[in-house]
Amino acid sequence: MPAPALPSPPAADDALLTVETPQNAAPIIRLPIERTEAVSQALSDAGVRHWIQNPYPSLAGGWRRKILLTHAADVAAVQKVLDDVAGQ
Amino acid sequence: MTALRDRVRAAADAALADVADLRQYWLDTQTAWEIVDEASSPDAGFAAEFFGTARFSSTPERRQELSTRADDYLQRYLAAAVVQQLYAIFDGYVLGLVRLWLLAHPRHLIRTGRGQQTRQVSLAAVVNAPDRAAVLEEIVEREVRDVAYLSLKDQLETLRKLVSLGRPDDDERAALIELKATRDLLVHGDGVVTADYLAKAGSLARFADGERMQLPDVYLSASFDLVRGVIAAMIDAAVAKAGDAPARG
Repeated sequence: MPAPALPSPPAADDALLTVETPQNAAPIIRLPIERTEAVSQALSDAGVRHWIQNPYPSLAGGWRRKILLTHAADVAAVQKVLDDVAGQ
Repeated sequence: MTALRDRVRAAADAALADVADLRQYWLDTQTAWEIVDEASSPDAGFAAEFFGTARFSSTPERRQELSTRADDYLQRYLAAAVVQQLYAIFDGYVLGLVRLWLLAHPRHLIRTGRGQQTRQVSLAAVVNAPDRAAVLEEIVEREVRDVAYLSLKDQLETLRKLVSLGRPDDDERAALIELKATRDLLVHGDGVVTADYLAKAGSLARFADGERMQLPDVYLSASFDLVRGVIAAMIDAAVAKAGDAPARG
């Protein structure tokens, strides 16, 4: 018997990006793949050390990426950068 | 009798296949955890459908735990395990090449004993060995075990004295030594950068003293490319140098 179709998850609200602080891991930013370059550039301009992680398929469709920050990242300062990017 | 060049090519092919498999495991495991992470979102209705009644994820609290731990698993444990395994493949390839060469050209044992002109063999080993080849195999195994405890720099120098392959070149050698230093920090340290790491990694050190080591995807991707590229480049040179010599052991 075929498995019942899964309901589609809601698409993430990507208008506002947030810095996530997972337990025991370095802070990350999740974002749609097409926004990676702009956000990475903004972080670089602000002197924030970061790495663009591999893309992964989203259950909601499309591809997403994470931007990895250092453990010592100033989360509030990075969030300010993201807010500025969203406001542009 | 199998030719040395065939053994050399087979060893390289096996190592390259291991690298490819490991890379796929890394990428697939990342994807799997991202799916779990996304499906564990507070959208309980969707998550319940996705996970069904599986015991490991049947409660919202458990799903939240999974989501919370996903990044820890990916950043620390998966990446660290992949780096260690990747280096182990390269290490095994280099030592395998040393073994093949010494078995095929045992006269090298006389001058590659790192200062020792003679290798002592127990009388029991000689008496119990069925033939001369078996005695040589034991000596070669001991030599390879000794080489395994050398620094990577000295391992590669030992290999170069056996057969000069021209690869890894200076840049590749430095990057491999940094990879080994990272591996050592993960295995022997708690992931916090030490003076030992900085001394080994030299100008390629990626973090400062006291910082927590991180293994971003771009570093792992570059490490895969490095190991794959070096092994692939060594194949042709090693096969050419092997000539028609028969393999032993």
